[in-house]
Amino acid sequence: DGRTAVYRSERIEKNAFLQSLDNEEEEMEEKHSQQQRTCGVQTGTDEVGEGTSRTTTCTAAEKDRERAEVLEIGVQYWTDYAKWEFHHKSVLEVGGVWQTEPSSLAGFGDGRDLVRSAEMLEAINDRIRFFVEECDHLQGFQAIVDDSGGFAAVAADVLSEIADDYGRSPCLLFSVRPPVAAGGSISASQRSISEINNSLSYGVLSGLATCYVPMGRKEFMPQGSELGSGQGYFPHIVVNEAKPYHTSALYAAAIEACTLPWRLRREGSALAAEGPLGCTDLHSIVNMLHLRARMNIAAAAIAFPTSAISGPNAQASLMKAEKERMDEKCVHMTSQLKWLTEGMSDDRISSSLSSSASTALATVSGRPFSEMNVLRGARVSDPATGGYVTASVGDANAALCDSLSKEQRPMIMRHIVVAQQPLALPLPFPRLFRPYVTEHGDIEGAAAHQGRSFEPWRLKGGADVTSAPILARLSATAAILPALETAQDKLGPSSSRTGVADVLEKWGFSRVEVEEIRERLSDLVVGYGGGEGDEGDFMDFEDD
Amino acid sequence: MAIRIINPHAEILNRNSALFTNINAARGLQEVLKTNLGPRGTIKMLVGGAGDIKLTKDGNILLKEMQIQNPTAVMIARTAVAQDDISGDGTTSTVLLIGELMKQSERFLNEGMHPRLICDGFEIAKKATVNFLERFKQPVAIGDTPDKEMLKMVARTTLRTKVHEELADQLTDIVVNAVLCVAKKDEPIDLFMVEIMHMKHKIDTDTRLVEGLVMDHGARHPDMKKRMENCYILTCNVSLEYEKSEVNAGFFYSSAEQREKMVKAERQYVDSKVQKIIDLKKQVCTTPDKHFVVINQKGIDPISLDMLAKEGILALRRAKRRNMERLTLACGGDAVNSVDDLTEDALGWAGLVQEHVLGEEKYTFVENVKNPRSCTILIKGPNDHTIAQIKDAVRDGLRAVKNTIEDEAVVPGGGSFEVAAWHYLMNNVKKTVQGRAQLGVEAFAESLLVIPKILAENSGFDTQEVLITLQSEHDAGNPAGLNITTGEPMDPATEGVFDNYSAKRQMLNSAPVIASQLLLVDEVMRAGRNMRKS
Repeated sequence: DGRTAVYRSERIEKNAFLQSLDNEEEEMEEKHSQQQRTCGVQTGTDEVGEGTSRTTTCTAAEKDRERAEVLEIGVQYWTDYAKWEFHHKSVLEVGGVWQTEPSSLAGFGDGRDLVRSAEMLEAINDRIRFFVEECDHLQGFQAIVDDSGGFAAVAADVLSEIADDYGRSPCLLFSVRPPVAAGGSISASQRSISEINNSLSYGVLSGLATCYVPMGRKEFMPQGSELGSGQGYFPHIVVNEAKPYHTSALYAAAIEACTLPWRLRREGSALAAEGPLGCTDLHSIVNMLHLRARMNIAAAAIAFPTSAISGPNAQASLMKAEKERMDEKCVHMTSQLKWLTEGMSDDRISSSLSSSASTALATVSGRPFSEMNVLRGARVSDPATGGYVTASVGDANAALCDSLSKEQRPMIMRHIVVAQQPLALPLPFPRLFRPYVTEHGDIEGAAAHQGRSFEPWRLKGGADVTSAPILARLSATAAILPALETAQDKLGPSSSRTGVADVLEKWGFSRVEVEEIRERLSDLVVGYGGGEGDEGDFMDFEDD
Repeated sequence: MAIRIINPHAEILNRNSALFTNINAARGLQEVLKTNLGPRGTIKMLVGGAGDIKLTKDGNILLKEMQIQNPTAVMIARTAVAQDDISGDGTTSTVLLIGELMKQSERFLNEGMHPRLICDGFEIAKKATVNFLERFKQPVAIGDTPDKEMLKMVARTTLRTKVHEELADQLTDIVVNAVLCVAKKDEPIDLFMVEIMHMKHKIDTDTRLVEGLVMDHGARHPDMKKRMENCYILTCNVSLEYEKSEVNAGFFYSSAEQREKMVKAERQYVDSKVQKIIDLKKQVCTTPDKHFVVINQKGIDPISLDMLAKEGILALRRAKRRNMERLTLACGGDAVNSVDDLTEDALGWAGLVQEHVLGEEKYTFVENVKNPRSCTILIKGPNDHTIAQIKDAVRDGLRAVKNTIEDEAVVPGGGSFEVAAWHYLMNNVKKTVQGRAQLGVEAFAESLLVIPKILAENSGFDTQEVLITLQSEHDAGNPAGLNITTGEPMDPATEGVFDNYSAKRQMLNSAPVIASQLLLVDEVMRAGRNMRKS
């Protein structure tokens, strides 16, 4: 008799940014002609007599800015940024999870049973297999996970499935975590949960991935400082932790840069004049970072945007005194690298996030065992115009090597990747750049601005800065030791007293499992030269 | 209140309101699910946050996918879902029975009866009913050749409650044949050996059983044939792609020439493996009408594919791990992990291997095999929700057939068991019970009648009238199930309506337990130490 019952949850509307993209698609015809017009204007700005159509560029740019602003203010989900359509096999819905406040997936244990069922695992396997089957040469797997909550457990299950099925393929895991204090203070119990999550992530995920790169700093601004105060963790970037996806943009930039070497095309000889340098495969990099057993955690650092290098032309033609001045102006490149991994040892030294420019540029040091440096789109000053141009691969490589040699460190295994293409920034890239950063990521008169305050609305985003040079580093280093020790302490002998053991029990970890995780963590600590491990121990890796 | 002294922030509900919240929750859940019971039950549409739609009348799916917030309802839902995990059917009935037990108890509780007494009655009634079930069930002789008709009747009964009649009848044959295909004497039935594959193609009644295997990928080389007859099948797990060695070894070379040489040497290793397969092909395919198919769990790179294609070998890479097992069961032969010492014994055989392309997706059918011990149910449907619906139904159908073979018994359906059990409890058991626990037995007996009642309601008949005719038919000594088309009593055995014995037993065992526990709750406190803080 046609009785039906309908139960539905509210539909989530597309945000204005995506709607505008949809509209754009509909008006493709019109858009197409408009695009041609703007292109014409951009290439022709140096010519005279373009005054009339310049207004078009202006409005188009303003429209873009408006669109990006929508995301800046109202973004809720990461899919709001998604400009693409997902392949229908790439999305897998996990049943029984609902978006609630506070999140029902706040703890590692909350995700433990989500994908454990045979059906779910088979569905996951099927999805992965579908794409693997399409690969002619499977290099390996890259995974990105927010391991600050229940998804860490989901990731663990998925990774162990991958390890089961594709045992020999390397798996590089990037973890990205939101800043801890995002959107206000947190209670003591929440803090404790997040610390346990941290320990479990280190203990569990590092064991399942061939190489584990934890990213996610707790804070980027000194306590109590204003957004426009000129202070902050990065010299040319201001991260507003309260806004969602500001930190994601940085991590995305870092991951983009770090994965470059195995995305480069192997075309012709590597020694060709302007081809990118250092192209290799995932397997080699992962193995280089994972030199010895028990040491498969790498830390990530970026210098973004990288300041311009001093080109050889300039060096040759300038007087010695002038060259020295230039060198001073062009800050020692690798010294600008800042860790994206929380709890690194040299972080402690400059943990005050001092406002003074010189200490804010504290070197990323620590004893490294092996590392990869990726430099994209380095800029060099152009004496002819007084502005900046993209440096040639050779010059950029020379500058990078020069800079690396200035870091006074023991001999290590090192891979260098240099490409001429800078990091392209999409329109919705959040407004992170300080006002003096130019369209191509050049730092114009930074010294004059550094530490100076400015109005927050003058920060620049993807609408103003279209590309930027980036230097990124993945490094297997002893500097990560403090982070590992923190993770170990939380699950350490005092855990039963602090209630950690109760939480783990509630999450369904058996005594044996906890013991295994503890063992793994202490293995890692010893592996990286902490604990009882003796000093000379970690210098004996293959150096032939 | 005592709890206030212990913890002044505790939220509490006192005895009366605690009980009635629980009863209301159980009734609420019953109200939601009751329209879905039986072949004539209606369908629910679940709409997710992203606008995705799921149409279903399967209680298990509903309970899994609905967002349930009431803690009592969550508890009941878990019990019902567990019912499905164990026996594969009876989720809706379990929820209805729990709800009805609570509802019947409410009457007595309102009259001031202590819940403990009711629960005692439940316990007695439960034991008696389970014993009664032992006598009521009909044994099914399985032996070497199972009674196929009986299996079909059980499958049909469960399938008709999930999908429309025409499709259900068609699926009946499919699931029965599928289970019989994988069933081995004296071994537990492994339903995983029945592969369920779906294609968004044609209409639901094109669903069929493939004796053999269907894989959701095809050859990756344009020169490989799309259709082959008389095929030798090599099932292997051998990497046929250029891989870096596992050890962290580096290449050391001082000239481009040297580097070339080293790459060539590495390549040679892969090529030699491919060559061994080609050698075997040449050995076994003596006449041109014989063909050779390689199905590999690992990768095959373009150079290897090319080598194989030139020899007329069809090669599939990255086969599902589980399919490797199924393949050898379907085609014979062994799954080999190394191409050294390959012999003809390791090869399987299939009469037909063909590729089917649907849009961007490719499917490979391995058919016409000899003595298959594994098969594939190929589900077709015009859209995703039809496919999902059939998939769920097929799963339940397979479980029902498997249960019957393992139970070696069935229970006459259509509510006939419930009517008979009511009769037994009211006339035989109740009298033997001392004191007020009698009322518990009575409540239990009345609750069982919820099944025929709702069957009648969903079929559009008057529940009282149907119940009275069923009971008088039973009094007359005839088995009395409800004929859902006429509303008249029928003999389930002649109509071929049979339920699973294990599903019934599981329901009788779990429903009263959870109902008793909910009835015995005298206070609800939100003060537990481990409760998540909001």
